[in-house]
Amino acid sequence: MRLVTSRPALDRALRIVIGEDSALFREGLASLLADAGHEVVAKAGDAPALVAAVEETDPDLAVIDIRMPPDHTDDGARAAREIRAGRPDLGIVLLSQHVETRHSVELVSSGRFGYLLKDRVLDVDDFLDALRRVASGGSALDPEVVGRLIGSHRADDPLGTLTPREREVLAAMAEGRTNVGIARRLWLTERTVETHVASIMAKLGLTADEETHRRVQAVLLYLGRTATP
Amino acid sequence: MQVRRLVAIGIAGVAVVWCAVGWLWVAIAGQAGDAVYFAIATVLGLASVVLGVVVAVHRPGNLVGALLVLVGLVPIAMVAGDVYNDAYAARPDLVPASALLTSLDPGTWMFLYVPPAFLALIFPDGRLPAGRRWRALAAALLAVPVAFVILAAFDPTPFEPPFADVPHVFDAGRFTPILLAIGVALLPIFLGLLIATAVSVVVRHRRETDPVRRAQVKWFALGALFVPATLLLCWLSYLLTDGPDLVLVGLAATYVAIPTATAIAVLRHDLYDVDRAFSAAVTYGIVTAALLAVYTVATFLAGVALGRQSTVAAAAATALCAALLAPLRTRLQRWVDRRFYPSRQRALAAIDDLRTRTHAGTARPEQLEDVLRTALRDPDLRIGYRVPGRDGLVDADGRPLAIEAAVPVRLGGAEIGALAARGSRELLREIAAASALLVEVVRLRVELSGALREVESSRTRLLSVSYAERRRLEHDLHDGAQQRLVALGMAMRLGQRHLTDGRTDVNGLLDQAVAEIGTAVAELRQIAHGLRPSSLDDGLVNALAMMVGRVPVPITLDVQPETRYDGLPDVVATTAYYVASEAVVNAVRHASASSIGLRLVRDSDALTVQVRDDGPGGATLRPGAGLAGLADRVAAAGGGLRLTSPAGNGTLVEAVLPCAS
Repeated sequence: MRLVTSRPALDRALRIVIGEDSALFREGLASLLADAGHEVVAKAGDAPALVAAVEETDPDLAVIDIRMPPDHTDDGARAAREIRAGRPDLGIVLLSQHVETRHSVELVSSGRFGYLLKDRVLDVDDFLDALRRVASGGSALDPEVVGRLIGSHRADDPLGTLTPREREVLAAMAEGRTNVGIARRLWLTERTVETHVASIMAKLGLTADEETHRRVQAVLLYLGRTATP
Repeated sequence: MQVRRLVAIGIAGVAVVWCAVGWLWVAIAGQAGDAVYFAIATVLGLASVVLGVVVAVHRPGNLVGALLVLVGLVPIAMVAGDVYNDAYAARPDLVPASALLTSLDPGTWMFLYVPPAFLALIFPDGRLPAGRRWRALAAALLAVPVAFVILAAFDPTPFEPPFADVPHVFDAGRFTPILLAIGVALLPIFLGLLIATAVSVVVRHRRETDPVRRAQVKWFALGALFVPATLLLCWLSYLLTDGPDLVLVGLAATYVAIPTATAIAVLRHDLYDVDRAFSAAVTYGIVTAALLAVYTVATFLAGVALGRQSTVAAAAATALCAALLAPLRTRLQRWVDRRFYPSRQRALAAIDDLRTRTHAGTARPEQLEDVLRTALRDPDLRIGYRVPGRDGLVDADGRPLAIEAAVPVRLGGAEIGALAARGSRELLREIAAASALLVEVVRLRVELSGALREVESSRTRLLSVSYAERRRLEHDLHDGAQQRLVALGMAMRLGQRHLTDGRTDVNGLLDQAVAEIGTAVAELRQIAHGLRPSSLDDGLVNALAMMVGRVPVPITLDVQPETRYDGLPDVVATTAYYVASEAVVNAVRHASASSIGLRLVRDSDALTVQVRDDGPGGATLRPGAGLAGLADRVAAAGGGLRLTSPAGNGTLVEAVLPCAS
């Protein structure tokens, strides 16, 4: 477990709905969230029940397994879109068993969205941080997905001009982290992070934006657009 | 309708009575020659009479039957007249004579031509051809002989013996020469009428569109060809014997041929290919005529040079004819075929052409059907191919084809296909024989492409089965072991967070964790077993024994000593295991069998797996069902799967997997 310099203040307790069909995982996650001080207001085992629970409880955040009954395909993702259409301000974190780039990037760049592999839950603090970020309007994209996005670029691409440090910062940006988050993660000062960010944006030809979410959006669009298929 | 049949039977009665009277006269005349002569006439005449009656019975509305009977009456009447002369000569006291009839007799010979002429005129439907001219011809055919008989009766020439002293009933005095001149003028007119009658047959054939009637007319014409053939015979007779003796044979043949051809035409016109017969008859007729001409000229010229009775002249003429025969016949046959038998000629030429173009690579043998359709002008023509492993016939695209009344196509004695088209069976048989090589090529191509298609679809099925299995395994891994491990991780994290505040039962947490890990390992093992039965590592027999032990139905496992299965290739062992376990599962699940027999035999070049149950049977290899998937697996391993499942009699699944030991 990583040492944490300054434990982020628990701004407020979140009211969370869980959509997950595996009882083992659902109960484990519920007790983990409760232990972290959040309130699990509803637990649903399938997509229709999840949509109904959100309707009923008006939560701050929904944590949803992508694969759920009734179809066991992408029922969770479809339920998330449905919820998003009715409640655009509700944060949604999708959990998946495996990495899926295309749809996850599209969802996450729309804001207030998170896409994480299920085993990120074991990295408890990071996981809780991602939930808080999404609930307060930010985004969270699994490092695995980001790695694939950056990895799928050719060497002669503008990405190749980035220094290794700048690549780390870019990855953290794409994951949806704020400057503060990036600084804490990479053991840098916020100032240095800002310098790196400005340099990266200049090299990639993107306009630097103070607002974190718009910045994530720009980076993801860049990565998604220029990725070799 | 019935009247015509009655007329036919009535004339037949007259013929029989005439015969009886004729035989009476033969007896009175007491000459052996008369008996032979009249016997021949009786046989020939009655043959036609009988055929005529048969036709009249089968086609009561058609006058053809009655006319055939009348044709039969002609030789009887003719010869009976001759015999009557002898009888009168022998016993004038017993045989009555009439001056009137004797006076009328000299011109009656003309009536002998009338029945055959009318037959030609009204054949085959019993009606005159459309048009006023033909009605006039029919009337003239009756009127001219009547007039001739009357005019001839005025001939004052004394009658032939024994009637030399019979008085002439008719006497025209000074007008006699005029009447006789008119009578003589009637002769060429009558010949013209007969020629017009022959023309009517040709016209009828040209006008006729119905293929059946056309064939009937041709049959009739084939019989009528004996008339010119008799003339040829006459010629030959004068050449060889200096007398007309052979003509009698020709006349007899004509009298058999015309009624026979007529009866065949009416009753069984599809018996034999008339086009072919007609074509052959015309060819040989012309060849004979040409050779006779050559022979005549050659003997004459050689005779002039070498002397009248020279054997050298005859030998030279014969040699010349022999040398001319073969090339003349071949060329003539081709020419006659084009005129009289165009469909045969076209079809054979088209097949030949297609073969050449196929050889040159500019056509495909599959075009045979289209080519023959065009050549025979038959859009419904079909060619079926017999492909091994398929029931019934298929078309060139491998689709099942149901054709009826088809002529088989054979090659080397084996039936390789069938041809169905309009036209005589004789013609179709000939076309089938000519197309045999092309049919064989198409058949092999159909078989090959069918096999390739089957391999392809089997590969696709195997692939989709394997994808489905992967998907199931992925689900099993994600929803089972992976979930369990993540949940375990979360529990441990939770415990970790509270290690210091004393709220964690470390012992209990670890116990629970180990138990969870144990369950996850068991799940993983099961999944791995689905990938490949790990029990196979201990050998096929052990794996099957373990599999059998898990089944709730008694199974007898019949295997050879275990060492027999040493060195089985992995793919064979694995496939055999899947066949056995899938078939056993099927027997238990679907056949509700009460006992199952599992047999494993390895011989020198193959491993055979047999699973037999005593269930209700009736199982089939439905696509997508378990057994069909097995068949694909076995086929992929180079073997074959056989399912024997008669309803009510259990099921036997047998897979033979090749493996050299």
